Amino acid sequence: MDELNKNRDACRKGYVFSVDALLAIFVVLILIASFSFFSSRSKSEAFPLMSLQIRTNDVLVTLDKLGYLSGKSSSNISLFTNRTLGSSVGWQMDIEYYNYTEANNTFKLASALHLGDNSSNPDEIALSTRVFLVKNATNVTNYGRVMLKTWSRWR
Amino acid sequence: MLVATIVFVVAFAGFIMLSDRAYRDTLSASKFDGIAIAGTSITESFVGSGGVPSDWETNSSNAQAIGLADSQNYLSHAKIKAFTLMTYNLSKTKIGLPPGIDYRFIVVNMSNATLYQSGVVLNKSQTITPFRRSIIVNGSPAELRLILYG
Repeated sequence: MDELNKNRDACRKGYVFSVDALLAIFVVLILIASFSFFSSRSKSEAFPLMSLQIRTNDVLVTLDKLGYLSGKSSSNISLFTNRTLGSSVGWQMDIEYYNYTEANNTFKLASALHLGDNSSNPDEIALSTRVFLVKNATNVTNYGRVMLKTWSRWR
Repeated sequence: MLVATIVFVVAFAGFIMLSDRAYRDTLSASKFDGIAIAGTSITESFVGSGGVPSDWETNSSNAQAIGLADSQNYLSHAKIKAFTLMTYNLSKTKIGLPPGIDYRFIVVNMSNATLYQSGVVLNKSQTITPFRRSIIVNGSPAELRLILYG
């Protein structure tokens, strides 16, 4: 009888040990899986935003050098920006034109353009600003400041 | 005992598989990072500098660094032409492309018509990483595309 009880105890202990080991291995596997998932994810997400930031800077430089910003044409600026950034990128642009008064040494807002998508409120954006001059044949007629905000529509 | 052994073997196999996958992911991410850094750096040199020496296009074999710009994002026709006429291996060395990575260089206008191109088109199934920069060439807007194969 004692022998039988000893065997039963041994079986119970073995079973408990197995369950215990199973649970421990399960926890370790979950930790490893979580680590590998998050470590590879963070690296792949670091570059799209940098790429978007570079493209955002490029748009402002080319808009300025092509004379679109000084031309003050909303349609030309919007068309160029849409074509350059493509449909996968949302954007919003604020352009301000200032008059400079030398006597007071002040800049006064003359006009402003608000272009692009005003309804979106994305979490992650690229932002670029640029200051430019509007000239006629001989003089500077306005001083301008432009801010371009872009974001990926696929996120 | 039998149950414990089976559980151990299954768990160990799972561990090996996960470790292998994590290693491959890390290796792949590391290679991607290298390509991304190279592409960003090369395109920045293209659109942000005129190269070293500044008139390298007159004798491209003596170029120390390749730059294609007259001013920021305003590219020189002569420099682009000189770059596209360089032999492939020489151009790879001059732009500082790491070994094992190939490139395709294209400039298109706003209608997507090709203005300049050089480099290779690969048929092999390799990772393709494109880089695009908005530029001005010959007074008109265009897009520079650098595609790296690794």
